[in-house]
Amino acid sequence: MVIISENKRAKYKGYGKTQYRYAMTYVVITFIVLLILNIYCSITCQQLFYQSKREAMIEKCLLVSDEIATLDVLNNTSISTVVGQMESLKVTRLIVTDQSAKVLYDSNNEAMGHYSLFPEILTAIDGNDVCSWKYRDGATDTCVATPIVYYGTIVGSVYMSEYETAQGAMIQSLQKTVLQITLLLEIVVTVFSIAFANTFSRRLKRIMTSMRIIQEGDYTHKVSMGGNDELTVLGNEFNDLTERLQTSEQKRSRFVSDASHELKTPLASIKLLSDSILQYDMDIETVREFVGDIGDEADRLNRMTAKLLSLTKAEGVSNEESEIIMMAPTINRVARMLRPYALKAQITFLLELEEDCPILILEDDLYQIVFNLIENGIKYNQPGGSLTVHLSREEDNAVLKVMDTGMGIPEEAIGHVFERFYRVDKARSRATGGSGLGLAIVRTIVQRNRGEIHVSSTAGKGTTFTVVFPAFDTEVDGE
Amino acid sequence: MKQTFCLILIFCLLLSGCSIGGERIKEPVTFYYINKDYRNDMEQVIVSEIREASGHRDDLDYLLALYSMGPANEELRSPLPRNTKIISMHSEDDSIALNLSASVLEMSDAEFTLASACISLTCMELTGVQQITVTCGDRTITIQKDHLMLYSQFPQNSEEVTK
Repeated sequence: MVIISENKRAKYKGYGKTQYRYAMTYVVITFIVLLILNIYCSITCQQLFYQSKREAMIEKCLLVSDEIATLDVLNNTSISTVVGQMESLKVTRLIVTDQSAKVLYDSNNEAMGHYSLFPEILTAIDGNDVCSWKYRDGATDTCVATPIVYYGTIVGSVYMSEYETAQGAMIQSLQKTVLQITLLLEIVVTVFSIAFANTFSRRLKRIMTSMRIIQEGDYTHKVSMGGNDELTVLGNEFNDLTERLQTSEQKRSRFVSDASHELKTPLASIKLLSDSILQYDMDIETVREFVGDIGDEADRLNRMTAKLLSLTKAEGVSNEESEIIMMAPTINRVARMLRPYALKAQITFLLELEEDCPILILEDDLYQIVFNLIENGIKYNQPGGSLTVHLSREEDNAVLKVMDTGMGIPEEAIGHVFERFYRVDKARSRATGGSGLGLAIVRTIVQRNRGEIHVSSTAGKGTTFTVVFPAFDTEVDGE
Repeated sequence: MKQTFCLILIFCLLLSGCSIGGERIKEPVTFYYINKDYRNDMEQVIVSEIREASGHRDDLDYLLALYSMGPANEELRSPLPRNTKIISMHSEDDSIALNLSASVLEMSDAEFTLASACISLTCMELTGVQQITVTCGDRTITIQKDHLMLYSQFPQNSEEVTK
């Protein structure tokens, strides 16, 4: 059950519009396409009817004009006789004019002696066969006109018009059918568009719901998308991201828990010691001892805080300012620093360093790596044991090995030694002032500088830490 | 913002729409000319054009001289050849007789009928006369308003229809 706050509800109020936008886009596009097809069909249909009508009408008109052209005298009587003989004309109106557009014959007997200035007649008198066609209100009106040619001279024109509702009705019926099909298709498209948009948005909604669940803190939640498209990929990516977030969150929680525990222990010791001093009557020697212990715990706290800061810094710093340095001088410097400490612990310190090992790294980083590893090698060694630092060039890598003859690391602990606050032997670690952060810092710095670190150990015989960095050859890599 | 912009745009368009057509015609007169493209579009051959009489509403001589200058609309053309002049005009009762210059003789019979129809319709519109006689040399045509068929019409009576 996901509880969405009012603010979020308001934030996501308009998201449902996407699905309508998708649906409407499809509907509008198909509507436009269908409308264009509809208009095209309608025009094509009219054109087809017009073509067939034009042929037939002009043929009829030419027949009449040819017959009239045989007459010696053009007047109403002679033309009436000719037209009367042609029974199959079946036109709405037939007009015959002379060359001045004066009506000589009108089948409707309305325009005798009038001047007929129809565009068809005037065009025919100019010597052209002409046809015009209009479709309106479910009826067609076809007008044709042809010249009457008498021995090469135009002496008049024949005009015919045919007003027809049957053909008009057929066109209207066809247009109606096409329109019905169009509407039906549009309805189908609308329904499918809405269904598709719903399906699409349902899957998006699933991802959004999962996001909210994760925002509420349930990192174990996984989104299940199904299918095999971009949304599926998005769902999988989202799940991967959630897993990483979960891991990160777990690490953070553990770190906070470990850090607080580690810091709490010296603080508790300080508190206990100071309370003891205050509550009991002690001789000066005991007080001095207790105060010394308080000082040791404070030092431990100080070291731990410094290491935590160092670790945070190591994680945050970029390696853009790296420089090419030889490893051997830095290792020598660390060795000089820690040799007295090794002598004090009765440990033989051996250095086997190959000089030609340049790498790209910040010198402080390298110093810290070497210092931590050697310091660990001394701390966790045994009196009379030895610590060997070996540096060599192996193909394109610089390999640093720090080998001690200490008590070794148990097999089950090897995988955890680089974790923060992990200690193999807690009692000993505390006794030697270890914070459990040294190796974590080393690994972070090594990885940040494109290196690798490995550990191998045999219980009772010793441990070897191997650090591998890509060697930087100025002649090759510098280019 | 968008709404304001739309309102301003609509207002501007309305204002520009008000000024379309230029200045208002105070004394309109109707002239008839020929549709240039009637052979292509098969639309009405004779088309009217409204012009400004400028205080000469009743001066037929002036108006016919103005008519002879041709139409303002580029889609129309004058029915008369260039340099055609109205030599004389005689008005009697309900008719007018016009005598045109010899350039009209170059026209075909149909063109002469068309030109006479245009002039007649213009004169009838201006004066209200019912008959116009146009003469040029031995060519004469008498036109009455009811005797001109300018366009075919759909039959109103269904019995006329051929099925």
